[in-house]
Amino acid sequence: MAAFHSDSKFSLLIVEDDKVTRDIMVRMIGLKFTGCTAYPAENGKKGLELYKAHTPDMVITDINMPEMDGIEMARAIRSMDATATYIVLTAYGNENFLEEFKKIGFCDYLMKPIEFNKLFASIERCAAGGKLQE
Amino acid sequence: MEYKARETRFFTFTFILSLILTVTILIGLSWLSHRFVINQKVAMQWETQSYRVINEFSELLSSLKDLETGERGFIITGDRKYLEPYTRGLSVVNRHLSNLRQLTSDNPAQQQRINSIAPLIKLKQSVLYEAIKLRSAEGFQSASEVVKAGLGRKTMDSILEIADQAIGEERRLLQIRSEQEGKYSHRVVHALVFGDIFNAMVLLALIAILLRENTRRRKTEDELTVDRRRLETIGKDLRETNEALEASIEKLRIETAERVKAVEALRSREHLLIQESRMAAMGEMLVNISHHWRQPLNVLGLKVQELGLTYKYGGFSEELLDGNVSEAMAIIKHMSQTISDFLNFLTPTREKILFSVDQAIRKAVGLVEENFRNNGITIGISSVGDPQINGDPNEFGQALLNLLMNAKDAFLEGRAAGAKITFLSWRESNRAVVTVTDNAGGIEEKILNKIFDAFFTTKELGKGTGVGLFLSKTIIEANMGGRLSVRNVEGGAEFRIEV
Repeated sequence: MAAFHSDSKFSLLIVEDDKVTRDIMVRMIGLKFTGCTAYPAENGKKGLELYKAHTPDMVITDINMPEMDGIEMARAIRSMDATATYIVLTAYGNENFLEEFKKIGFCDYLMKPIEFNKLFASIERCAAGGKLQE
Repeated sequence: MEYKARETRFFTFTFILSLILTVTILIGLSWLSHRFVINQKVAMQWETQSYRVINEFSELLSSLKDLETGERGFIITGDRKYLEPYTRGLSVVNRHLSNLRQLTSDNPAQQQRINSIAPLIKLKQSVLYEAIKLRSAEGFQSASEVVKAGLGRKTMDSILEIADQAIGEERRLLQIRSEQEGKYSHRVVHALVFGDIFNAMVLLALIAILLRENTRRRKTEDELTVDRRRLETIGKDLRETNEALEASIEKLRIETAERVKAVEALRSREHLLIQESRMAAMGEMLVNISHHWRQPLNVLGLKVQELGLTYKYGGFSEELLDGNVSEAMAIIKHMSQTISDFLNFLTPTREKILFSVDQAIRKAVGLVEENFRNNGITIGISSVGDPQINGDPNEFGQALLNLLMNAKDAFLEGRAAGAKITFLSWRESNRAVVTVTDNAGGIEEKILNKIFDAFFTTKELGKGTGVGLFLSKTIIEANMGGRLSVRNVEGGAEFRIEV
């Protein structure tokens, strides 16, 4: 596959319980990556359903969420799809969750508060090195 | 002491009195003896004189008889040598007569007798002389005529009579004087004997007093000696006690110094622990604040970045700018309010007001809810009858927060799934009751009565300070006059507050 471009076609699952954050993320990623299709989910359970439905190229997920947290969801997805690509959003103080996430395997992690420049770079890198490259 | 002084005074008085009495009696007796001796002497003089008077009379009569004897012998014999007694008597008659006059010079009656006897003696002498003269001149016959005439004989009889009277008088005087002398001697002897006996008695009394006083003094001295020894013993005891006391004081001083050092060490340890616990509380608060702030900070960041990104990639508008700015400001205000809430909560108002227990619980839980949720702990609150408490609501909230922290720590140790803390509050006969129940597995029975002790902790070093529950107990019981207790219930522990 050719080098990743801002208009390259790819799909993205965004799992974040905070609506404002989720909405802005969806909007900004849409602005930067014009060829991207984003599926927003407010918790792990919803995220798992959307993944099953759309099998997106990449999953951006928070860890602490009600009903089903990010780790649980990622583990469930991994059990179905060994190639699933994760970008983990984590807050300071959640390093122990990150350790657990490492066992599942992720492409990158970002500390909150989210810096879009870093997030975009991370998306590009993970898209280039991940499933999209295959 | 007063008694002894009085006794000594009495003794001195008696002693001097006895001495004066004895000396007076002795002087009296001496005077009496002196008088007696003088009287005796005078009496003896008188006696001697009387005897001499009697003797002189006898001599006088004897010499008169010599005269007579010589005359008779001559007359009868005519021999001159028979005149010898006559001559001898003649030479002494006058001497005796003059002696008598001298001896009886103090006795007029005797003087008178002598005066009357003197002419009779002269007459007798002349009669005798006449008869001798006649014998010599005319012979025996003429002379015997004279004798026979009896003048000489009559004269001699008168002389004898007067002499007898005078001798009788002397004898009578002698008798009277002797009797007087006897009576006087008797009285003097009596006086002397009685005086001596009395004096002896006084002396005996004096000796008795002296002996008694001596005994008393010796006794006093003995008592004094005993007292002195006792005092010495007491003094020794006191010295020993004093030394012991000084030693004790020194020991106490050392012990006190050690204790002060120990207390200081303990205080500095306590100080350190309190400092540590304060730091821990502040840390806890920071964690809570960070949980409160993380989400809004993230949103704030996104809102700011959105402006830049839309400007760069398209979609930027005045509406978007205004909207994001006002949203950002709202978020900033919210964050500022959060800090204010925490600060208010950390500062006790120190004033008593009537507050709702339910509201106080919700406020305290609100501060930590975010933190607890992130740790997978849910908190349930339910209240019946809106119980109220009169006191400092912030302080009450502190007590609740400490219970919440304790429960959270218990969950984190156990990592139990479905961790839940339940607050129940209700009214119970003028008292507000709050129970805080967790399902963290409960507290070991053997430490159940220790968990409210200051600095008691089950947590590993550096994690717990052992101050939290102690502070809750202090706030509820000492500051609010209530009661905080704990018991194990199924699956966990139940703290019960009654105010």
